[in-house]
Parts: sequence; structure tokens; C-alpha cells
Amino acid sequence: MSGILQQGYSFGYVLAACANLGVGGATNTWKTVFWVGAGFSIAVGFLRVLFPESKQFIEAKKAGKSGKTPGAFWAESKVMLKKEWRMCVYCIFLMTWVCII
Amino acid sequence: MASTNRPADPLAKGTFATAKQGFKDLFVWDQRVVVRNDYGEEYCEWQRPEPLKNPITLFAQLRLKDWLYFLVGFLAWTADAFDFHALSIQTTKLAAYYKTSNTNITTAITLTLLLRSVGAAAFGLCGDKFGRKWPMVINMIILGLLQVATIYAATFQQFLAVRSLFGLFMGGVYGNAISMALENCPYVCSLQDPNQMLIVAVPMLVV
Repeated sequence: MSGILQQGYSFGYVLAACANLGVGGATNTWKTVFWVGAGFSIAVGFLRVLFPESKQFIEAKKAGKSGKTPGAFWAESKVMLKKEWRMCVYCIFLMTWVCII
Repeated sequence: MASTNRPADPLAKGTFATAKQGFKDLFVWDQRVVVRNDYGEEYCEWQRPEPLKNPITLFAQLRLKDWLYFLVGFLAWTADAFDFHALSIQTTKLAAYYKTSNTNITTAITLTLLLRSVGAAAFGLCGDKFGRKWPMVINMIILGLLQVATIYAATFQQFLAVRSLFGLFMGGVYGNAISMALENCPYVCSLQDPNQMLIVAVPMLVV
């Protein structure tokens, strides 16, 4: 499922490309595409209001986990980077390569 | 419970040894898994990967409500990409509009992407603290408003400033969008170990 979700990004690109083709090449038409994007984002924002809070989050909250502090997050990240920095460097190159293609 | 799996030689130490072992393991169908027994001792064994399942059967496990959640998360991510690529695909028009070169316009892309990782970290923490819902709502609405602000940016400097801010909010979308889309999926085939998540997250942020 996460793979399908990832394609949302490409889908957004395709939609933007379609919008770009749709409005034509005149200079001021870029604004139209931006208006469409703004409307789209705000619409999704309001759509999200209609759905309840995540069950997992409520359960975690009940269990007394009130979320990590930024300090704890950085501390964990540092430990991870120390242990797995080689893997990180490798993944960065991999992702860069994939994105260039 | 004693495992009946074939024992494997331990994980290699060092960059090149790990790479070599990993490459060799590519050609073995079984997976080398580190197991910890009741005494806290760790050893490696070969485990047979779970047989592939029919994706349609898996899809059928999702109820209509789960699909709806998935769809909204998907759309949020799509809107995010749309807003970003609205710029990158129209660089020529924007260059004409601001009477500058395409290269200068793409500075905006650089700024957006630079601040994207900052936004992802900030909204990720917000998501843990205040929940997945309202941070995402606020995020999407501000994202839209920044898109409007881009339209009204009078000078190139303002344009760059707005696009930097846009990067901050663009980065925030993905985390809450995936949690909304995937938290309700009964079959979780994603990474479970938070350490692994971080390893994947860092390069994603950088790139």
C-alpha cells in the first residue's frame, strides 16, 4: 500500500503537467495553475476535517505517551546516525541517483 | 522454542565485508535473520520468506472506510506534489514573468527542497504531540494559502521567500499523509523498527 501511496507524488506531477498543458503557454497563465493547486490543497485540508483523529494516536496518548520532545528525537537520531551512518550515506546516494533518473 | 531453521554465519563486520555478504545474500532465496533467544544471545539463521500473497486478496481485506482514509492521504500527497511541480514545470513562464533566467527561477526549487526536511521534522513532532488530524488540516490549508501568496508575490525576492516557506510546509505533508493512509491498513507490510524508519527517513529528507 505504501508503494501505491508513493505514486501520489508522480500522480501530482502528472496532474500539474496536464494543468500546464491545459492553460497554454502565455506568460500569465502560470497563475491559473497555482490557483488550481491552492484550491486542491485547501480542499484536501477541509476534507481531512471530516475524518476522526488516528486511533493509534489516541491509544498512544491514553497509554501516557505524550509524544517525543524535540530533544529526545535528536538524541535518538544521533545514536542512529552514529551506528548507521554508512547506510545513510549509501541511501542518500541511492535516492539521488533514482531521482536523477 | 528451539528453531528448526538452518543456522547462518553471523553478520559481517565492516563496510566492505557487509557489502560483500549482502551482495551474496541477494542470490539466496532464504533470508539471513538475526534472532535473539531467551538468554539474550543473538545468532543468525536462514528463514524462508513468507510466500507471496495475491494482492487482490489483500486489497479485499480493506474495508470501504480504510480505502477512504487511504484516498485522502493519497490526495494530500498528490496535492503536495502538484503545488511543488506547478512551479518546476512552469519555470519558463515564471522566468518571463519575473524577467529573469530559468536558472534563477530554479533557485526557488532549491530553497523549497532545502527547507522541506526542516518542515518534515517539525510537523513530524507536531504529529506526535498534537495528533495526526489538526496538524495535517492546518498544514494543507497553509500550503494552499502559500500557493496563493506565490501568485501575489510582486518581486522576485518575495517570490523566493514565499517558496522557501512553502518548502517548510510541503515537507510536513508526507508524514501525516502516510500515517492517515496506512494506519488503517490491516496488512502492514511497511517497516516496523523505528531505527529502520529513521534510516529511510534521513535520505528521503536530504534528497
